[in-house]
Amino acid sequence: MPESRDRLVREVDFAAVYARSRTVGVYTDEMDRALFGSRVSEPVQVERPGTVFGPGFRPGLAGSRRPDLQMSRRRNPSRSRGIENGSAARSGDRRSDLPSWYPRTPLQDISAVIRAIERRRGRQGEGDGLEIGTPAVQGLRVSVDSFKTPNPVHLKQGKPKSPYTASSSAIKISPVPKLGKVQKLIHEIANQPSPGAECLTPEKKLLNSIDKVGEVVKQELEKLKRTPAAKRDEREKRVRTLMSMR
Amino acid sequence: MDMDYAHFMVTQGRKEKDNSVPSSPSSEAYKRLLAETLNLNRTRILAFKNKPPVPVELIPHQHTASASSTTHQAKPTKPRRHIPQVKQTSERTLDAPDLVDDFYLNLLDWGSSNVLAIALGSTVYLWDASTGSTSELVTVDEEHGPVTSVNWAPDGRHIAIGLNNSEVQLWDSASNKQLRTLKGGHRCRVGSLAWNDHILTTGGMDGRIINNDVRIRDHIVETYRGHTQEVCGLKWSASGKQLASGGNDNLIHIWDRSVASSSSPTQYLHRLEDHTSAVKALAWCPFQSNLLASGGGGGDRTIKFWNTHTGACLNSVDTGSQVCALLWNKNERELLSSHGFTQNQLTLWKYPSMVKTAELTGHTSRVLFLAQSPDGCTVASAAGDETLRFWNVFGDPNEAAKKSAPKKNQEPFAWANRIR
Repeated sequence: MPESRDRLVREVDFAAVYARSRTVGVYTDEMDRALFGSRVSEPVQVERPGTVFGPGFRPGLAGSRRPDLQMSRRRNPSRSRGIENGSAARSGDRRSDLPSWYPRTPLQDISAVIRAIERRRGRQGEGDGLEIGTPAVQGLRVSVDSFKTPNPVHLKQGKPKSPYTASSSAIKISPVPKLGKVQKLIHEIANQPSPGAECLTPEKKLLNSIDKVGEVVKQELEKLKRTPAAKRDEREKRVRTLMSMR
Repeated sequence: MDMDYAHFMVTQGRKEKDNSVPSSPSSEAYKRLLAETLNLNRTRILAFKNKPPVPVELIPHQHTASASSTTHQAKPTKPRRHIPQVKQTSERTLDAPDLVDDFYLNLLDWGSSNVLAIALGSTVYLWDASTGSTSELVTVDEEHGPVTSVNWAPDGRHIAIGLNNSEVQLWDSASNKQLRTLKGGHRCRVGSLAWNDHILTTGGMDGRIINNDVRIRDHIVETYRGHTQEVCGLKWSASGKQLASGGNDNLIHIWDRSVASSSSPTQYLHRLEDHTSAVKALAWCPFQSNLLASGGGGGDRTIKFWNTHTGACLNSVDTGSQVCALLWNKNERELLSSHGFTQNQLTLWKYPSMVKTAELTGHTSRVLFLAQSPDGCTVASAAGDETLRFWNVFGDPNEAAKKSAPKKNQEPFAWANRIR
């Protein structure tokens, strides 16, 4: 049985009504009635505010729909306008925490992924405390110089230089050369099940590069320890200690 | 410990070695026999002994004062269950893409056959909790969808699916076949479903509640009118005598089949108007038959308890955020509520004190739907962040399995009426 409709034909200025309701921010009943007649049969979510429905639009026809509406509905299955759902403007384009490139399979187990994302979020919360802008980068340059770490550019080549060379050539921690390697890293991570590269801001990249530099320094120190001269020194030290205990 | 022997063993050995006098075989034998009789053959000084004797009590039990004797009793009357804290993190998380972020729908249900049904967009998926496998039940046409409610029948095999176009489909999950479509009852989407044996009660956006007998052709047996806006919460009591419904009109109605059938002007038994927002969260108490818990939406944020015989409100608790769903613990006196903005948490309350026992966080958007496993231990929650999380909030499933297993062994021939 067809539903009853408001039979009185009223002149409605759709644009004005729409503009009014837009300023309020909530999809009002008034707008409902103006656009769809007195009785709303189906919930329709207006994705793009620009679309205005002409007088030719008839409510209650389940089949006919404007194509753009249909497209947006497929992407975001319609959410009714009720008060509990908040304003219509709050359309969730990407409601999920998963990165956009992550393949979505219904009911796939993503426990590990979500845990990793939560951990990263926790770390980000801590990391935001360090304000990293250009002044800090300068500071980094200075501190790295004093350490006389190997040239970070060498990381890419994989050839470590001895850190104790006198050359204190300007060790730049410029983010530009780093990006190449870091982007490669991102792709690597993307191929693995574990994520976490979607929010690599320049600051994050810097921090990552600092970590890498630290690791390389540690490796260099280990290597030094293994050289014969270092071993001899250590042995002598030990012998001296033992002799003193006699 | 034999102190003499110990002393001998420790000191005597040296003397023997100093003795260089050659000894004849007979004297050797004599020495050996002597050692045996004197029990000097032991190689060990220290040896294990039996249990120490029970210490003799100076004053026996029975004669002490009664106060101290009670301390020797085995256990207090109420054994504490939750010695370990309720685990605050989800056991597992499943992806739920295209989950409709609509407060008024009911897209999640866990059937008695331990299969979880969830509607993502226009498709209903079944997840077998025992195997962890996923299967697609049905994808409805774009024009009919999206799916607005799912509900398992009590047998755990049949499932009802409410659609946006006001129809309800009945499916057999075992054979993956559609059994029938209920049409003509509602005029708007069917957002809530509830089973009562062979009666499927449907609630629509038109405010109507319809009882459908799924066995007969003319399925509409009764229509309850009372709500003026969408019916989002619908729950039958455990006895099947009373039906609770909550709507976007902030009302809760209690329908009693005996009252409704009589020709009274209003079909409902009670109309509860205390909430100031939409009521979707409804849960009947498993250990008190006429107790109903209800939760209000964003503007109300309270959980209220009702006596459904008298219609009186027993208690009201402000939770601080939108209450989307409620679940009772079948084994303990606890209530679980799921919330929206800002924390999107699940809160576990002790009943009747309504003290917060635990708060489970993890979801990053409002926790819209809750479902309970058939064994009563695990709760599944689906939220607007497109994830489905599982929480062992009502108990450890392993412990529950252990508890239930010995019960089965008690009566080996329970299935037989006579043994002969």
